[in-house]
Amino acid sequence: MPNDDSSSGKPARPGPSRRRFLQTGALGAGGLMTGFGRGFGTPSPSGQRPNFLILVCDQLGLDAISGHGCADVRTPNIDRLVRRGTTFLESHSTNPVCSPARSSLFTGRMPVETGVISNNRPIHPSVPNMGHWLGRAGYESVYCGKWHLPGGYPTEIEGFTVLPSGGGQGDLVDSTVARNCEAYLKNRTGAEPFLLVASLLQPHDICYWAIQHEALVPENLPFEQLADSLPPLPPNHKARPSAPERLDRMIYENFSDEQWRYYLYIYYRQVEMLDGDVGRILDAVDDSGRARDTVIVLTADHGDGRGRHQHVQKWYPYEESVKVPMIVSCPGRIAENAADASHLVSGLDLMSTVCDYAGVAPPPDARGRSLRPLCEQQPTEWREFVASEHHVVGRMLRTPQYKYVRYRDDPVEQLFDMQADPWETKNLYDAPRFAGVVADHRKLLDAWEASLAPVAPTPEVGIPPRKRPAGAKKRPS
Amino acid sequence: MPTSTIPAGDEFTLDIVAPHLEGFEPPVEPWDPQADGRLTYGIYTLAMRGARLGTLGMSRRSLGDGTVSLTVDYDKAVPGNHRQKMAAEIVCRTDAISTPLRWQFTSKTVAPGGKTIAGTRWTKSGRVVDGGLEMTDARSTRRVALPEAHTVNWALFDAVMRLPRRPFDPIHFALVDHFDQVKPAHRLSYRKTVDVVFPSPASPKTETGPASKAPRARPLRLHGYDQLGHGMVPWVWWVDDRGRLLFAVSGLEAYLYERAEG
Repeated sequence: MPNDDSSSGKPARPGPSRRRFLQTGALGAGGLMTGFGRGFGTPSPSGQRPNFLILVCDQLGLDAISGHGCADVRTPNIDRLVRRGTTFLESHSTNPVCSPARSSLFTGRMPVETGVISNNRPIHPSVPNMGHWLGRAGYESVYCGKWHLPGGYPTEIEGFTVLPSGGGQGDLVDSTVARNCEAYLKNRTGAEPFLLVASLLQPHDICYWAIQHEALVPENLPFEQLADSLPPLPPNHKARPSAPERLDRMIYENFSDEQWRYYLYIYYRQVEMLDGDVGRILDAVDDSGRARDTVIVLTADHGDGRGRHQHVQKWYPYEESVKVPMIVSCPGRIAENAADASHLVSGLDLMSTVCDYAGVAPPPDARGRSLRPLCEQQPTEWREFVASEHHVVGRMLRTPQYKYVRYRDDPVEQLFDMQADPWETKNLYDAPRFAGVVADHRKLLDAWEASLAPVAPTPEVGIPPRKRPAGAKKRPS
Repeated sequence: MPTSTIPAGDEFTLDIVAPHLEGFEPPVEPWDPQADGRLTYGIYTLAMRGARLGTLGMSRRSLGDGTVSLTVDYDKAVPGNHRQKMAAEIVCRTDAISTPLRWQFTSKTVAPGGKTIAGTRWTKSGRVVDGGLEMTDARSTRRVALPEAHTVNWALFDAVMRLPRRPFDPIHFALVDHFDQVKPAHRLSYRKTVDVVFPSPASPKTETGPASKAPRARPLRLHGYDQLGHGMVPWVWWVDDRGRLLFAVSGLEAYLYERAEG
């Protein structure tokens, strides 16, 4: 069973396959949860290659939208995409940090293979990005919004035509990104298909509610009217599974319960801000007459702690940080109103999926799998696990039932039974009855690590430390 | 009513903008929020140390039939010395939330030389018809349902200046954000009245020593309003005793008064 090959028919990478964790058919045990409507998998009405709209969100957790069951938020536009397409409920970031995760989205390779092991690094010059790759195949590749590989909002990105944006955080930028994408979609007259990346920043603004908490999250609730309507604390807010020391150090202790709940209130309003800008772009696709010719993908680089395990931000392998939306839609081609809860998917898969629909072979070393057979509900073998990188020295491996985490510089490993304990409250790695499971996962991870082809980390580009004002904190990623 | 004057840095939302208001001199000129005029604000991001990013001009002109024309001139810096520009006209009622009747805007990104970046210019108009919002541009007409009580975010810059400067029953409405996204369940309410003083400026040094006369900070009575609702981080609007809108703060986004004309 291949684990990480593309759908191009090339030989599978050497990879662990001693145990078969997953079903081998798209409609296997546990398959698709919800029904689906009209026919799909049909060619575009025009018979041409489809356009692509890639909506990249920043810090959007998989379960932070109403269409995925969150009662604390209202996201009618993202929900519209959920209804129109296939949403993957086991979707994982390759590295829950902005730049590394984005490097995978746009190349199909793990961050150690792109050279982007931390923020503000360029993709290694030997690795083509999606703009390059589709551009060579005749696509017009256009980018609008946050890039961060490096530079937040560069005016030039190799492989893409850039619609300049930026200036402020998500609250001031995203409406511009959405409006420029709307203008692009409606002004466009070219005959060639397009790849448009709309990279929206919300709800990343929430970072500052932790960093500047004294001003933004005062001790007393700043809006008394909200006292009875703040979201509840998550059930694992106080959970303290044994963890590598670096994860324990990230426990955030500046908030009272009420402050945590206000933090959540703000986060969900920022998700709603994102939703409005997503809606503006989706409306533009519809109004431009290209809805049935455009494959739309919405995903994110990573999630946010949201008080789970008393965390803010991202960086760690818990679900709130590493699970991200992956919603794929194209009316007539892709199953609608379908929620896939059984297939483990990854940010790696975006590149291969786009290439598959474009009729282009993916880059030779792309590791992702095309989601197309799953989107079209065709039988296919699927991978046994997904992996994620953490803090350069750590890796997470997720199999259908378990999550296993290991750091090279810490003896504490983590094993969670994700079916019995989805909130990750009990670390089972040293429980005798799970010794076999731990051993299996260690071997899987060893083999995965052996299959990687790291490149030298690319140079970090940013503010030279000597120029950073005294006392100023590094900006969040 | 406030009982004492406090540093602006002690008041929620003013605390985070206070560093950008060193030397701020409260306007003393008369101001009639029912009359024609123009106010200019600096556009700020408040992340980390914050920065001024551009200018927002809001003009009001009576049309003589119980409606007014509001014009919005938005000009914000974009990396690479580009600029994001948006110009709009909104015709609205003079009611509590400046209910819009119709509007038109043009948005574009311009390069350092002033040339519009290809593909970014877009013009769209909207009007309220039969309980719905009809939006039209060169490619399409789109209709969406709209509650009777509604306004656009930019019209609130006008509306808050005519709100009572005392407690009142909250006003409920739907927000049409950036002219096309309808966000429900908004509520505008009185927050508080507070007397504040902004930080005095540090004396600027000259080649011959400290400047002799730096502007003095003066106490200012402010009336605050809260806006809560879906699809946005809460806003706090601050007007002076004449109703003039001085500061609008929403999380990391702020508009700070700079000058008035007319």
